[in-house]
Amino acid sequence: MNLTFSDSNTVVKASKRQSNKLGIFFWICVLWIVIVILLALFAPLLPLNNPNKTFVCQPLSGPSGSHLLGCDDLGRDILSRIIFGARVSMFVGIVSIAIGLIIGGFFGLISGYNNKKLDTLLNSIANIIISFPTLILLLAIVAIFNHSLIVITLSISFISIPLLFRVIRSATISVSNKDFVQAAKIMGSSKIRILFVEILPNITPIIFVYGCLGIGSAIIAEGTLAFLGLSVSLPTPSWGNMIAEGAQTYLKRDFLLTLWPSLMIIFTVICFNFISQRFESKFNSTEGAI
Amino acid sequence: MKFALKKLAILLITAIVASLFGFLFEHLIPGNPAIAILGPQANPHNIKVLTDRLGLNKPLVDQYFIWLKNMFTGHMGQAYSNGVPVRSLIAQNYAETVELIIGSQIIALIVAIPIAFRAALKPNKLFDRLTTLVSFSFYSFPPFVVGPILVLIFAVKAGILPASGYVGLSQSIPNNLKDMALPMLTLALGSFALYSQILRAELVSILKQDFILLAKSKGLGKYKIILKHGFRLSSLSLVTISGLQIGTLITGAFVVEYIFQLPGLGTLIVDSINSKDYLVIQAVSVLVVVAVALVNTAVDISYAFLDPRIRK
Repeated sequence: MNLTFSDSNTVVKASKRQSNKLGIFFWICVLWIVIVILLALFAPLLPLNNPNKTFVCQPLSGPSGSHLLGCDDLGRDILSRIIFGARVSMFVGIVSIAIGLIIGGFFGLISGYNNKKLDTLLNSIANIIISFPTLILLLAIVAIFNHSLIVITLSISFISIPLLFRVIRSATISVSNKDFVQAAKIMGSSKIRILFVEILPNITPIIFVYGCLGIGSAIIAEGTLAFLGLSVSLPTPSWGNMIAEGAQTYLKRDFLLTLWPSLMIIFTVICFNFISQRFESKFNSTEGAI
Repeated sequence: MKFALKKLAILLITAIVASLFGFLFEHLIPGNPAIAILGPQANPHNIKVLTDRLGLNKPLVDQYFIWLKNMFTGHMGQAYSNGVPVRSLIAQNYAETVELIIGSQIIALIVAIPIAFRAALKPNKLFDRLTTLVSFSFYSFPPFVVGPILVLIFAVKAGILPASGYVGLSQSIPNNLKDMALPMLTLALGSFALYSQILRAELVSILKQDFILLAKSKGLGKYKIILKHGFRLSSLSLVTISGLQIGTLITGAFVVEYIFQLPGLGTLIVDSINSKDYLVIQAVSVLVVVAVALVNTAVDISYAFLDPRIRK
């Protein structure tokens, strides 16, 4: 469990082989994520069994024509639970990082551009929040409030804010030293214009790279809480609580219960990480060419 | 020296913030903190005793200092669910968490170092690419996914290691290690991925440097070069990374304890959240945050002593 972008990025950097091509795996990953998002969005419209309805089929019966991934211990359709579970993971992942990007990004921009005092203050606050282990913060927030979808999403976005702030701040600093920004300054452009017209478009690739990485981490964070029984309450399916249900009682009898949600989380997170990594490589190599 | 002082100042600030966070924790809970802390045992008498003890009638600033004093002297109160002092609960449970972390780090290093050596000697060849791919995937796997898979392979299918159960280290060392093997392995995978990739990248860049060429032209064998010249330098960054990872590791250990139903601080905190035993949650959180800050500071300072370039 980690929402530490820096660590994950070290691995990405260490294993980075720069190349200009996005490659076939990149597009496979994009396709996978688009499919998961579409399934999650349109889940209620699809011809699926109610994910919470018990005994729609023989409990623990394996995959069959009418129930493609089989049934769980209570006779619920696993495929339908997986697809409805995707709604939780995708909602938490995308919404929390979007909030994190908006708030962290806004402060990162103004802090990174010509604002010494504010920069020192915001950076210190960010560093202090980052020094707290992620899961401890999440557990504390969940213990104080409750574990509804909204609280989980907001607490993960709270944790992502200082991390995204730091990334965007340092990107802003490096872009604001470039010639075209200096030129805009000399031409008398306003601060707001420079920030949003000159700098923001140039750090968009970085926002995208860390946004994808962040969504992967947020999905894992929600999955961890769900596994610990501290995310959306049962019977609402989420990948994390499905893994926990399967692993704690039925691993011996039917490991497919655990396998399907595990594969979903693994593929989805690897895809987000891989897209982020390929995009970063491409961005770096084109940057180098200029 | 100035560097060390700066780091100590940061440590102090973090500790103060952590204490404020811990203190405010009980006040952020909706309602009267005394009632929340006492849970089902909140009768008028108990509420009055606790209110006096925590100074809940006094101004917030006074309450903070009473709280701080209680934390330092170990008077963290009792868990209402079983009446055991919080201090004893932590004392009973921390050893398993520490053992899990140390064991996982030993496994991760034993596997990561030779693999990184082998990969760095021939960068971008098959072995290197393969291990990079494996590490990259391991890094993406959270413990709650890896744990059940390892249980399935080693306990259910192969039947060589137990899936659950726990024998204390003091009772029987071999049985304890057998029970801890899968939990340690689960926690080790992420660290292994990180260490092998960091070490590989460091070694590749060090092996390109002039003094390595000199060693080569003196006729030293490649393993001798890598051990004598490469490893000593690259181990520095390994130490830093493993130190900075401590927060992730502790919370990773919490999840692993929960998967394998081991006693430990993680199981303690999750159980306490479920039973709303606020004092336990508070004490464990503050303890972890302070421990992480301490380790990070120690790593920063020791690293600066080892590598003078950092001190600037």
